[in-house]
Amino acid sequence: MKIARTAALLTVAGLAPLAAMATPLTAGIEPAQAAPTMAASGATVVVADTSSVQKLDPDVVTNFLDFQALGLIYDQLVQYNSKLQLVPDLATSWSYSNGGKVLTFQLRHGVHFDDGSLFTSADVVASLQRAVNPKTGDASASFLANVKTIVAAGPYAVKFLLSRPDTSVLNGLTSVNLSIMPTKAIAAGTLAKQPDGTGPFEFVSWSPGNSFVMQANPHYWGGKVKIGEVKVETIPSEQSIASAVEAGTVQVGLLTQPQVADHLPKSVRVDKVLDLTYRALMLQDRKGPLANLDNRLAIACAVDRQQVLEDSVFGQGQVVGPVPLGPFASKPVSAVCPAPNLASAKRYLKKAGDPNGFSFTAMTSTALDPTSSAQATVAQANLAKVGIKMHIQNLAGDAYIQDWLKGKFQAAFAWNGADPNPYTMYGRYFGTGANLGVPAGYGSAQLEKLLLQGDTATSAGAQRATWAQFSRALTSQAVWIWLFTAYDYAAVSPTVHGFSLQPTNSTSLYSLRTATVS
Amino acid sequence: MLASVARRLLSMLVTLLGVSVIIFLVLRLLPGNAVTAQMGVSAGLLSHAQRVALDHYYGVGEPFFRQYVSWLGSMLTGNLGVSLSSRTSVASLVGAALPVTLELAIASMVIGELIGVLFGVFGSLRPRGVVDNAGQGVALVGLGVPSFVIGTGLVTFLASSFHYFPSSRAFAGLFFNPWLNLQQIFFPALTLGLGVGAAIMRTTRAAMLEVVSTGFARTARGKGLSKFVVTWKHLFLGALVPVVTMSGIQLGYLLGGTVVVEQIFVLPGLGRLLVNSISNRDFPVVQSVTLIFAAGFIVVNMLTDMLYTLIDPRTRAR
Amino acid sequence: MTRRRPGFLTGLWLNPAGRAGCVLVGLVVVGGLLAAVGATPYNAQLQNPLTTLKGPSLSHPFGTDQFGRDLLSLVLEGLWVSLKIAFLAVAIAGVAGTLAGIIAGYLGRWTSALIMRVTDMLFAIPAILLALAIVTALGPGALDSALAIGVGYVPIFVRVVRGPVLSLRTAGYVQAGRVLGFSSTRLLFRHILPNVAGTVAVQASLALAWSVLAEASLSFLGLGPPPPTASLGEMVSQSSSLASQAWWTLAAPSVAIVVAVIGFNFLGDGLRDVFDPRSRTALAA
Repeated sequence: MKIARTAALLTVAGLAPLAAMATPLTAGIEPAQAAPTMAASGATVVVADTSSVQKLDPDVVTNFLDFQALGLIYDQLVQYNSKLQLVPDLATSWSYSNGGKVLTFQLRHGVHFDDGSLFTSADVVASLQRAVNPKTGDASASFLANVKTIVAAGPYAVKFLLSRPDTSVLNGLTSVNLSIMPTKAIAAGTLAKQPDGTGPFEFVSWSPGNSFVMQANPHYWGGKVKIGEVKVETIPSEQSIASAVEAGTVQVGLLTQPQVADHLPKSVRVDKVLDLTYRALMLQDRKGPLANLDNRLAIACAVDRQQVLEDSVFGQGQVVGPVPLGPFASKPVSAVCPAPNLASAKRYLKKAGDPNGFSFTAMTSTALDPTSSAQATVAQANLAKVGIKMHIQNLAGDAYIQDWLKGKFQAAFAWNGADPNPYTMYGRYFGTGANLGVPAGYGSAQLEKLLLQGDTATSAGAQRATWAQFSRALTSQAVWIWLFTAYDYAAVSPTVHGFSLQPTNSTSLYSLRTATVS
Repeated sequence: MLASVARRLLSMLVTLLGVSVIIFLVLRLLPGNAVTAQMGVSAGLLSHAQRVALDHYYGVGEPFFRQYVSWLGSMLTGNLGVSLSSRTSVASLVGAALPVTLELAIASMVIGELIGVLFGVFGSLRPRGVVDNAGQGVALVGLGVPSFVIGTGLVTFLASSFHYFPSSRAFAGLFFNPWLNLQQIFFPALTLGLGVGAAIMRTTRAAMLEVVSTGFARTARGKGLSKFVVTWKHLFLGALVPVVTMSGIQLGYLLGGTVVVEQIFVLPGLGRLLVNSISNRDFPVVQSVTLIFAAGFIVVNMLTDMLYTLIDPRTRAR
Repeated sequence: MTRRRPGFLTGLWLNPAGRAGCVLVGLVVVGGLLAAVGATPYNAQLQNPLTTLKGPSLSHPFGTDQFGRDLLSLVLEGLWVSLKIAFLAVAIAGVAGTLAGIIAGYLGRWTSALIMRVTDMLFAIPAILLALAIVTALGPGALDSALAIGVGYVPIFVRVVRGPVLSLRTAGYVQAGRVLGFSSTRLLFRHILPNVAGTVAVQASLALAWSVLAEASLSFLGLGPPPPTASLGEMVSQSSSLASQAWWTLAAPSVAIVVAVIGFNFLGDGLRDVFDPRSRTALAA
C-alpha cells in the first residue's frame, strides 16, 4: 500500500490509521460536473491504485495519488525530467541576478487554462500568494520561506525577491502544492470542487473514494494529447489490481508490493522506478546512550542494510545514504561502515565505555509503513550480535505522528520524502531555525553552515563539493541510520505504448501526456 | 394506532438526542486532531500562523459544549454540518453514499430471505432430509464464517480465477448503468446475505416445525388442499411472526455489517464514508453518519414492531 | 436449581449442539493456551527467507507466510490474543450489563427508566460502529479493544437480565424474604442473581462468539493490536494480496476464526437447551 506523502517531501505518510485497508477518502461529492469543452476523442486509460483521490485543491493535497492525478491537470513553473534535472514547465527560463537575491522567470506565451482564460504573470503571483497565505494551510509554503515578495515584470515575467541567495526554491517550485491556477478561480474560491489548470488533461468528474476522471486538454501547450480520457480508479488490493490489468479492465496498475509485481504474467509489462523517498532509522541524539557518538557509530556499523532491504521489500530497491537519488546522491552511502562491520561496531562500543552494549527503544508504525516491522526485526537481530538491545514499539499511525512531531522517541523507523536537492530534503531538519529540528533530534553549527553554503552556491562544482561534504558529515556523525529506497511498480497493459513511471510524486504519471493506446 | 406512532416517534427523538451525546463524548476522546490526521508529520512543516489558521478552521481546541451546540444546530438546519476535509456539506456526502448502502442492505435482505425462507420451509417439511442438511450447512457457513472472510475469499477467487472484478470499474449508479450496478452489488450482497439467510433459515425452520407439530396441516391436507397451498398458506403464514421479527433484527445488524463489506468491495456507501472520516478525524461527518445509522436502526425496529401488529392480530389487543 | 446442577455438564454433553460446542471451544482454548505458554511448533515471529510462501506440509501443517513464518504458530498466537480480548470484553459487558439489568429490574421506576433509556441509546448504535469509534479513540491495545467491544454488548446483557428480575421481584419467595426484613443486597445476591445465572451464561457464550468476530473485524480494518502481536483479522486482510498464489494464507486464520465463532455459538445453544429446555429456537445474536 502506498501511503500518503506530502509534497513537502516529508516524512512518513500523511497518515491514516486505517492505512491497512488502502484508505481512500471522502470529500466533496457532486459527481460528474461536465467540463465545458468538447467531448474527447481517443481511447480511455484506466489507472488503478489502492488509494483514492481525496482532495481536489492542489495547495492542500497530501495524498500520493492526489499528487499523481492533479499533476496531470496542473503545471508548475519548473519541473523535473526523468533524470531528476530541472527543466522548464510554465517558465521557459530563469536566472539569478543581484548577487543571487533576485530570481527572474520568463513565462510561456499562449497558454490557456481549462476555463479558457490566458495564462499570464498575474496568475503566478496570485497562485503563490494563495499558497503562502496562512489560511490556505499549504505545507509547501515553507519552500518559499526565503521569498520576500513576488512581483510581475510585465505579462510574461515574474521576479522573486529573495532574502538570501536560494537555489532550492527552484526544486520546491516543482511541487503540485505550488501549482499555477487561474486568478479568476482563486478569487471565486472554486478550486476545491473544480480543478482548473494548464496541464495535459482537464477535470471531468470526481466520485470521492471511488473514481476521478480527466479528459485530454485540447488546448494543451505541449502538443496533442493522444489519450482521450484517463480514469483513476480505486481497487483495494494490489493483487486485484494485477488481475484487472491482466483482464484488460485496467491499463495501468500502480503497485508497491514486489511479490505482486513479480507474479504478473508475461503479457503484462512491468515498469519500475526507484521511489523518491527513503527509509531511515531516525535517532534522537540529544540524551541517553544515543547522545554518545560512538554508540551511534556502533549502530551504524552493526546494521546490515542490505539484509534490511532483502527482508522488508525482497531486495527490490537500493541501499542509499542521506541523499538517495539525483545529481548529489551520497557516494559512498556512508562515510563510516558502508558495509556492516561487527568488529568496528564492537570497537566503537568499547570506545563509548559500553563494551557490553546498551539498550534503546525504536518506534515503528506498520499502519504508516507496512514494511517497518520487518525492517525493525532485522535491525534488532543485527544489533543483538554486538550486544545492543533494541526494543521495538509499534504505534498506531496517529500516535506515531504525534510522538514524532514532539520528538518523543529514542529512535524511529521513518519513511521520508526525498528530493534531488539536499537542502530541500534536510533544510527543514538541520537548517537554521528548521521547523522539524525537534523530530530531527540533532543539530550542529557545521550542518547549518553546510546547508546554507550548498543552498547559496551558484556553481555546479561548488554545489557538488558542498553536498558531498554534507553527506559525509551526516553519516560520520551517525546522525541517523539511512537504510534504503524501494521500487514503485506499474503493471502496464500491452495496449498502452510509451508509458513509463517518472521518479517524482508530482510527475509519476506524466508520460500519459505522450503515451498512445493501440 | 396514531397515538402510539406519535409516542414512538417522540421516544425515538429522545433516544437519538442521547445517541448524539454519546457519540460526541466518544469522539472527544480521539487522540490527535483533524490537522495532523490529514497532514501526517508534514503538519510539522506549518508555520505558527498557518497552524493557528488551520486550528481555527477545524475547530481544534474549542470548548466541547460549543462544538456540540453548533453541530446540533447544523443538524437541525438540514445540511448536517460541513465536512472538514472536503469542505462540502455533510448532507451532500450522505446524499451520494446513502443510496448505495440502502441498495446493498435491501439486496442483502432479499438474498438472505430467499436463502432463509426457502431452505427453512423445505427443510422443515422433511427434517434431516437432503434439503434440510444442505440448509443446515449453509446456515453454519452463514453464522460461523465472518463476512470479511467470505468477502476476501470471494474477491480473491473471482479476481484470480475469472479475472473478474466488478469493482475495478467506477461504481455505477442503479439508474445510470443498471447492469453494471447489479454486478457490483451482487457479490457484496451475497456476502452479507449469507449471514442473514442463516439466521432466518434457523428461525423459519423452528417456527415451521412448531406449526407442523400442532397437526393442523394434516387436517388441512385431509380436507383435500394441495400441498403447495398447505405449505405456504397455512404453515408458512402461521410461522410468519418469528420470521418477521428475525428479519427486523437482521436488518438492524446489516447496517453495521455494511461497514466491513463496503471496504472490501470498494462501494462508496455510508460505511466507507464513516471509516474514512474516522481516519481523517472529520468529526462532523462521523457524528452525522453514526447518527444516521442509529436512526436507521431505530426505525427498522419500530417498523418491525408495527409490522407484526398487522400480521398478528393478537398483539393488537395488548 | 440445586438439584439440577449435578446433571448440568452431563446435560450439556448429551445435547448435540452443546457437545459440538464443548469440543470446538476446547480445541480453541487448548490452542490458545499452547501459544500462551510458548509451546507453539515454531517461534511465530521467526522469519525465514528460505521458507517463504510454502504450502501446507508435515513440517508446516498450515503453510508459511511471505516472511517464511510458520502459519500454525502465528494462528495459535493470534487465537490467544483473540481469546484474551474476547473474554475480557465479555467480562466487562457481563458484569456491567448484569448489574445494570438487576438494578433496572429491581429498583424503582426512575432508576429503571433511566437505565433502560441509556441502554436503548447504546443499543441504537450498531455495536461494531461503537467499537470502531471507541477503539480509534483509545488506541489499538488489547485492553482498549476489549473495552470497545464490551461496551457494545452491555445493552444485551441489561435486557436479558432485567426481564427475569422483573418477574422474580414479584415471585412469592422474594416477596416473603422482603416481609422477613431481608436487605435488598441479600435478596439480590442470594435469591435473584443465582436465578438469572443461566440466562447470563447463555448470553455470555453467544457474546464470546460475537466478541471473537468483532475483534477480528476490527483488526481486519487495521484497528487491532499492532504487530508484532499476531492477529487473525489482520492476517486475513494481509492475505488478500497473496491468497491467489497461496490460498493457505487466507485459509489458516479463517479456519481459526470460524472454529472459535461456531464453537461459542454451539456452546451457547447447548447451554440454552440445558437451562431452558422449552426454548429450542436458537436466535443468533
